[in-house]
Amino acid sequence: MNLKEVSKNSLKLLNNVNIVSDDIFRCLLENSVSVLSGGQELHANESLFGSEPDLMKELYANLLIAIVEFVRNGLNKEEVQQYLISECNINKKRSDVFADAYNNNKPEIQISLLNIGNHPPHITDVNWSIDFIVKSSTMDKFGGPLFRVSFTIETFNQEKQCVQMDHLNFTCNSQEMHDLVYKLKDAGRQCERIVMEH
Amino acid sequence: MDEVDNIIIETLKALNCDITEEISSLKQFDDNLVVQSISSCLEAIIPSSKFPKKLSPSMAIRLKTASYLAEQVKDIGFKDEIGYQTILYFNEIEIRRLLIFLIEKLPKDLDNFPQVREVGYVPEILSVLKQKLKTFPALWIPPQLLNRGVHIHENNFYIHSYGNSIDLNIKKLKIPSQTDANNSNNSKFYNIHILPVVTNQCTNQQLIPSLLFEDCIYSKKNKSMLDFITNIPIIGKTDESLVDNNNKIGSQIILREEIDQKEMTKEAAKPINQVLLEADNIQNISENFKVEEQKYLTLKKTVDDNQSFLNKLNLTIKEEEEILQDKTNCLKIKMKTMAILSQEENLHKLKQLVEKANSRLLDLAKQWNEVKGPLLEEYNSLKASLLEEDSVLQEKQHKFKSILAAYDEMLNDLKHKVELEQKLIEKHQQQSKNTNRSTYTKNIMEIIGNIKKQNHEMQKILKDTKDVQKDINSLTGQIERSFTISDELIFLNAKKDEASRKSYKLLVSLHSECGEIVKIVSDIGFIERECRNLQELIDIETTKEIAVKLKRLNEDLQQMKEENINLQKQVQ
Repeated sequence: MNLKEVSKNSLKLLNNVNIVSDDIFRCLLENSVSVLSGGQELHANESLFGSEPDLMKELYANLLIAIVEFVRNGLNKEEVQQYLISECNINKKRSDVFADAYNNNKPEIQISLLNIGNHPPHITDVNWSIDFIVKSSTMDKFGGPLFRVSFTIETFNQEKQCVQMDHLNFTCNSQEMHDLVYKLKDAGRQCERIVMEH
Repeated sequence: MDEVDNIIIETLKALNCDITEEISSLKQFDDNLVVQSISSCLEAIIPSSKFPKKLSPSMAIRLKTASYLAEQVKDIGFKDEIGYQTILYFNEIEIRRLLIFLIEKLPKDLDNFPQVREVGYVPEILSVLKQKLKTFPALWIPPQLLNRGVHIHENNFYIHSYGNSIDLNIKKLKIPSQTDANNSNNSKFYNIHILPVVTNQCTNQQLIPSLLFEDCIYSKKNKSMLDFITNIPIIGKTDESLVDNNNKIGSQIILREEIDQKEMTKEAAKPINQVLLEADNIQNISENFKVEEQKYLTLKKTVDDNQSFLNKLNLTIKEEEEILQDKTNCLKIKMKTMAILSQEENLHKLKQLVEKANSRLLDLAKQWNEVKGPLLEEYNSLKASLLEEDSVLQEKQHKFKSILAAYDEMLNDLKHKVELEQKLIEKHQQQSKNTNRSTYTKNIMEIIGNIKKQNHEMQKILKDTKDVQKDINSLTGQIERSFTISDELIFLNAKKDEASRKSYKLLVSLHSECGEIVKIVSDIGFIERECRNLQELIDIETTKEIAVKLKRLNEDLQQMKEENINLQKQVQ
């Protein structure tokens, strides 16, 4: 866990009560955690920055960097406090406020971090029905029930930049259904074995 | 009786009764403890039942609980007399009998009794569900309820879907810095008025990766750099080496650019026409060169072919020569033999030589036989001895094998025994928890021994009494007989003699009086026995401490009366 010197220097600005008042500090923190949790900024930046927009822009950016780095390294509340006080020379009061905000929103930001990456579509739900055709125009006899399965798939749509639900539909007879279930169980067992071995 | 008390207290402790360490016998029990132990026993015997564990201060409720408990005990099948008085005004012996009865009635396996299985379809399903829910690591949750595909439970993240995952996409963020070297007015102006906030410099999804990583060097704009990087086998793993690499790459790129520039400037110096002419020339020459090259290649091929043919011819010539030489050699030898055979002297000499050789051969054969005989014998004997030795060896080997097998068997045996020993040790350790039982059995054995001894003594006493009885019988018989004899003798004389008549009378009176005395003696014995019985009864009664109990009963009665008066007052 190591922040850049530039970031550390910038964070020292938190000690300056004239530029960063308690209210502004709280609003900045709220904005940061909200943005990092995937939401929108709660307070308008222009109203917070006041007379020193360049310093505040710098501070805001480095606050964001610090929070993300802390989460990425999995620090807990005490470690964050410790780090802020000893490495960045930030006073006790401010670092306490920071650590509180950090601790309360850590899981949300962790989820944000978890959701970076490229993954195949995920099956999240299933709808199914069993049909039994007694007779139809083309055939008199049928082998048994027909399983109609629809997997709900979640995948990330790159164009729209949002989650998209897809449906994977298929129909099978009981033999094929047995096959599918058997294979799924087999796969599950394989996974268990791998887990046992490691 | 100490042992019995110990067993009772032990079992009561196992039933969670509050028996302190100081209490070691039933004598020290008070009525609260008695009630508590009886109710815990009853609770264990009758599942899903509740009994009061403490006596209330009020006399009336005390009486009620005591009689209720007594009734329950009777219902279970206690045959002796029991009532509230047995519990409230208990004595040691009765309460011991009662507790022994209750403990015998306790379900055998105490561990089993609280897990009373509920019968029925629904509770069964419920229990199965509970079990499954406990073991199920990640419950299925509708995707709409998830927080971006993740479910947080007890500080664990259960990832159900990566559908929200965004590719790693980085943008270069421009962050103003106080310590920047060229902190001129212009850049300050730019920072203040134009530069957007970091959150507006990229999309929300790009923010976190962009904050964490910088990829300015590897951006798509710098294409030559990108190509260069893809040609590097491994980029350094640690941060430091990455930086080093970057520096290297940077310097190399600069070098390459410089070289390119230099070439460019050189070429630019020549006039363009000349360059064009030269280009034409070069093209002509290169075409010519190509034609010539092809010619050269075809010629070279033919030369190679011819060379190989020549080589083959050379080889065949060599082979033919060799065959020729062999044949000439053969011819020479045959010629020589023919020349020798053609002269008669030579033929004679040759015949003689052959005869000599024949005789010599015979001699040699004889000699050989002479030498061969003993050697053969020796060989045979040696062979026989070898065979013998071999058989001995085989025997020994066989023995050795059998010993080995026995050894293996013994080893196996040992293993088995060791295993058995371990098992037994384990068993023993498990059993050692029940040390109480073994001590109890030991005590029981002692008690049985004692009983046997006592029995023996009783038999002795019985024998004694029988002997005495026999003596008494024989004595009474003797008395009877001596009386009849003397009676006959005196009666015969009594007709003749006055004095003997008198003596006869005296004899009769003596007899009757003696009989009375014997009767009195036996009466005394009878009374003595009765006295002893009565004494025993008295002892039993005194142990019951009726007086003390009566006193307590009186006190309780008094208390009840007071309570009644109080109640009456309250009613009024």
